[in-house]
Amino acid sequence: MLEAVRVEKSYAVRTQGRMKAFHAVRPTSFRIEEGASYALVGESGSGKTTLSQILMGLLPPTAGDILLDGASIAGKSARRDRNVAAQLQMVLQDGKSALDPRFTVYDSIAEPIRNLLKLPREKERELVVSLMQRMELSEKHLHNRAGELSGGQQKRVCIARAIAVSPRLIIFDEAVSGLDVIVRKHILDLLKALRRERPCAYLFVTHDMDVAMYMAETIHVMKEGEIVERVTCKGNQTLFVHPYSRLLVSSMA
Amino acid sequence: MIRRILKSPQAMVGLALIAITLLAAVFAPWIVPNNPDVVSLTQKFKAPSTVHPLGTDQLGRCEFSRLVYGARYSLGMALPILVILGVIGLTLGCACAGIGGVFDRVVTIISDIFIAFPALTVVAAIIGAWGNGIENIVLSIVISTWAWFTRMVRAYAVMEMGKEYILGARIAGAGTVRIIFRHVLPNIMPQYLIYASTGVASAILTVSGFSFLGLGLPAGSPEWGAMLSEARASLYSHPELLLYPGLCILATAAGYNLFGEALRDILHGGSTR
Repeated sequence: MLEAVRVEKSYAVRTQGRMKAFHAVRPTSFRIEEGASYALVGESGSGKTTLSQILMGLLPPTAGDILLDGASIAGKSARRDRNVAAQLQMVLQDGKSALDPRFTVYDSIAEPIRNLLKLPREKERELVVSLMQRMELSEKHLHNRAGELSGGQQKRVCIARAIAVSPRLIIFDEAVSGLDVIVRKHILDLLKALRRERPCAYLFVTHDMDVAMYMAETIHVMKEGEIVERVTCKGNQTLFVHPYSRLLVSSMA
Repeated sequence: MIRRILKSPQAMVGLALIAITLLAAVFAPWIVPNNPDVVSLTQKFKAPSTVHPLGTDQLGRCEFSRLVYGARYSLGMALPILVILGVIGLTLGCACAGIGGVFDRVVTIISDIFIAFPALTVVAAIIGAWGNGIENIVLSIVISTWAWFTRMVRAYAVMEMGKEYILGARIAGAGTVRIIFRHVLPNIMPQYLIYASTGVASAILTVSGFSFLGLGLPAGSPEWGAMLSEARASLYSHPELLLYPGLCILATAAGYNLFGEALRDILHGGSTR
């Protein structure tokens, strides 16, 4: 479905008065299959978020290509295609800052519907209400602003936005970090249930091996802009052989 | 926010001063007891009376009527200036933030060039070339200050464009134009209004300052700066003739400044809660 072909991203940075190339993502290739669940695990600064934004067509790669069903979507202009934008959605790390502070919950969830589906008002409202019910958000929050919701509720609004347009792939960028363990478990279970109801590929971008093991069938371990190991583990920790992967596994709670 | 404005004494004092000047400007013909332009040399320097509530000036004109009409001149110039500056500043500032790249750099360089020229130099040059007139003074102030507005709006818009919810909007399928109109503009509007309200005060002071120097308005116009200038000759004999227009300028400028500052405190307080 989605394929990264030797994508890389580098920035020019000034170090001690000299311009040098900083490689955020080194040449990397991988495939995301329809309906499968993946994780991209690595410490902060390993290039996970950069890679996920390249996959989404939000950031142009320095080299390489991103293919959606064989067609290139590398670069910012690809997302101008409504069809591409609707197929690839992303849930950002911080629920509060990912939502416009002026928007009500209704407007936040309706935004992708208005931009990408262009439904009549009545249908739009029906869809927003049904998404809120599915995300276990009370209708009384419909006219609240993001700042008036709890962290877990904000996250659920973000997920509702992402699933509103029935995408084929959702990337969760540190989607449950910063939430307490009970809320975190609840949201992860909700995501599992959602995937059973409406088949969709998931890519969890996280520093937390726990989350990756719980949610993903295939885990890509990323270090210093490079994927150092990929394992289809389905919860089996013993399959990791790279020392960095072993370190991440050993740091699990 | 309206409730917080109503609870702030500073904002309410500012609003009251703004309201007084606005009402005076709008209802001037019904408020004034005399024609502000009628010269009567036999009536000059009259003490306050029921006919002339604040007495008369050096040419026998009713001081109170001239002060009330002065509000029309000050606001009549300051508000169009603000509207024009708002349109230019918001359009160019947001376009810089949205388009970026070469366009942003070119606009930034051009505004830096305009900022380098003191307002007085630009106004003196334009009035010198095109002559006196309200349109020319409005135009010259717009030319000398548009760059400040553009730079301010650009700074706020660029800051807003870097926020995560803008990335969220892009993911939700919003293009740059939609992002500017639906997200950036509404979110920078409070900061813009604060800047604009203090900008009105500064525009009123600038217009009065130029009139004081004899730039912009025809001689004898009942404009506060011009009245102040004309009353200079009678500083020792009738200092009240300087005091009245001076107080009007002070009160109007203070009104907009107080309101703008209170608005900033209210919004700043709100964002940290």
